Amino acid sequence: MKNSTRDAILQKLKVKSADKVTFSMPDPMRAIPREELIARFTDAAEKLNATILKCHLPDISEILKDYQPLGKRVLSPELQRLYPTISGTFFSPDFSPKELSAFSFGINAPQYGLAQTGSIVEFYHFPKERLISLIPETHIAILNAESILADHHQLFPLIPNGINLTLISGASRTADIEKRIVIGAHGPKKLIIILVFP
Amino acid sequence: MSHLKSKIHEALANKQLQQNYYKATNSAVAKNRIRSQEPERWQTLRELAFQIRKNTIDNLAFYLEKAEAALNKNQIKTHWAASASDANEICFQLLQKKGIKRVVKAKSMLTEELELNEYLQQRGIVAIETDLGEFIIQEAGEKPSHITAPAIHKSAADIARLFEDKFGLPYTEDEHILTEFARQKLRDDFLQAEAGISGANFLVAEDGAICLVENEGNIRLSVSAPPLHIALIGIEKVVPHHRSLAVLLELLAPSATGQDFPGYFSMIRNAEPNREIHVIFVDNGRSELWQNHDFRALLHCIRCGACMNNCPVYQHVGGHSYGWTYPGPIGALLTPLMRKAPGDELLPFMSTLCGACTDACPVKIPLHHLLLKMRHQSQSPQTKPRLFSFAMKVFSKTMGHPNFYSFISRIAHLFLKLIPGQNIHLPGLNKYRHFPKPAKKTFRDMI
Repeated sequence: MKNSTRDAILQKLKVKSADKVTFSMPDPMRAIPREELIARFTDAAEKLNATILKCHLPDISEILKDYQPLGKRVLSPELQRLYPTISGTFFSPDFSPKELSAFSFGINAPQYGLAQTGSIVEFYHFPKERLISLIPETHIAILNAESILADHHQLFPLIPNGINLTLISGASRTADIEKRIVIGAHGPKKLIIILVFP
Repeated sequence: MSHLKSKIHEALANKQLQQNYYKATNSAVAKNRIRSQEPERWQTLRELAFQIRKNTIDNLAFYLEKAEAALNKNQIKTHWAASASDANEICFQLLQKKGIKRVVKAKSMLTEELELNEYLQQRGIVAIETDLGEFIIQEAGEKPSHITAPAIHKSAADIARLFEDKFGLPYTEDEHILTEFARQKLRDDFLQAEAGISGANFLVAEDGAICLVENEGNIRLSVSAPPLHIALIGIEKVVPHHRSLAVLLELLAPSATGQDFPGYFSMIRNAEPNREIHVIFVDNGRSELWQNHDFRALLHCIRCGACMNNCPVYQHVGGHSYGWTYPGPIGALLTPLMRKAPGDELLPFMSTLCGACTDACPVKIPLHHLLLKMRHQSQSPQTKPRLFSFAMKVFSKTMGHPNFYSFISRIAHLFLKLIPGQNIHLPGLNKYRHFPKPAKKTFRDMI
């Protein structure tokens, strides 16, 4: 039954030979100096009500002091390797969504930033990892200032196989009531991006 | 009075309703920065998007088979549904097998088209809409009036009254309080849900990525928190690869809400341990539309809502007047071809043919030309009154000869000046329109 439905639908749509999609993209903003990328990223993200903090690598746990107590922080597992000075509870896939909602701060390290749209790009290597930037009320993203790309056109070819991902632009929002924007719909109410310089 | 006519009259008599539509659609149109400020890039992207969509739809079977293979490789199970009842039944069976009684739903116009919620409810499964707009209309017992902003017809006062009646929330028009209330109310549903149901904005053929676009985070929650995710995807939603997806993605949010980029863009490409993902490919009239060469281009649509945001008719009569899931110019074309209910053939006449929809469409569907074509097809020569045909012939001759037109318009002006009073009500015009008194001098006299 199932296969016959499938075949019947596909049969109706058949053409003799498929044309390949070919097209040339408008030049994505390629040769942009790093300072400019950082400036554009900061500007775009702040327009989306994200808070941008900047620090050098050794000062990272200092800058996180404002987001206490430690017991309220849930950290994505790769922070252990990337920023070992940060403390808190490391996320485990055993956590239920309910357990995660007890944390106030979800802290992770997105792979890239996108200058044009002020977005951060999260690649998920662990099961359920995406809940870290979703359930706690404040999402703190620690972003290497050197990993800012021009835009999503540059990003898409760089996505590795077999992972899930999300592009996040600002805190969660809605405008379903008379088009008036409310920050903090179902996702985090606050997005803090810490740009880390070497 | 026909159903369509009574709906239109109801909408036209409700000034508040028109205000709601007017404010919301105009704000979305005005905010589209790339269209107004980078017209060259906008046009380049639209042309690319048109080529991508045309090529994909023309070779739809090829890309669907590719997408199916990629999904299966990612441990995502695929199902095929020829009709709405097929799709609903597959979805119901998947839930019933696990004994699931409550599901959270991400906003999906396809499931509105299928009437999935009603189907599940009749079989004892509660589907909770989690998008704020969808939540509001579900509680109000209504249908969406817009494809990206489902509660666009409601004012803050309407929503305040609804929340007061339904939940006992003290009357407030403050959108922050209303939104926070919905957040808290739905929180436990998300955290405890055993299954989430979504649609998809795109499905990438090369790697099987299910792409979801949103602002609220409710879609991410619906498809990330529960252990079972069912995605219902119209067969036209496939895109070839990431590069083509990037083009469509850049056009979608500006066309829909006027944002530069969506708040969240998620790609789901593999099932994780202890998480099951099912994709239901839904035909429900699409393959038949594909075979209709005159209107196949309607399958290029990426459901942004720009055509309705820009439509003067939609702004006046509102989304519910169109009678089905898809309102505005795209709905006036899709409904007669897909739902085919008696009276649907009148929908293409709900247009001024001004072409604002075609100008705004990010994938360049020639909407107003198609509306005109559908009008032609629905009117056989025999059905036209002879006097009408004669009048149209005279009209066409007049319009084709500028000097004759000028002569006729001068004579007409002389006669019109004889009519007494202001804003004359003429037979044939409805009560919302008046024939204005002509100016003293014609435009031709002034230039």
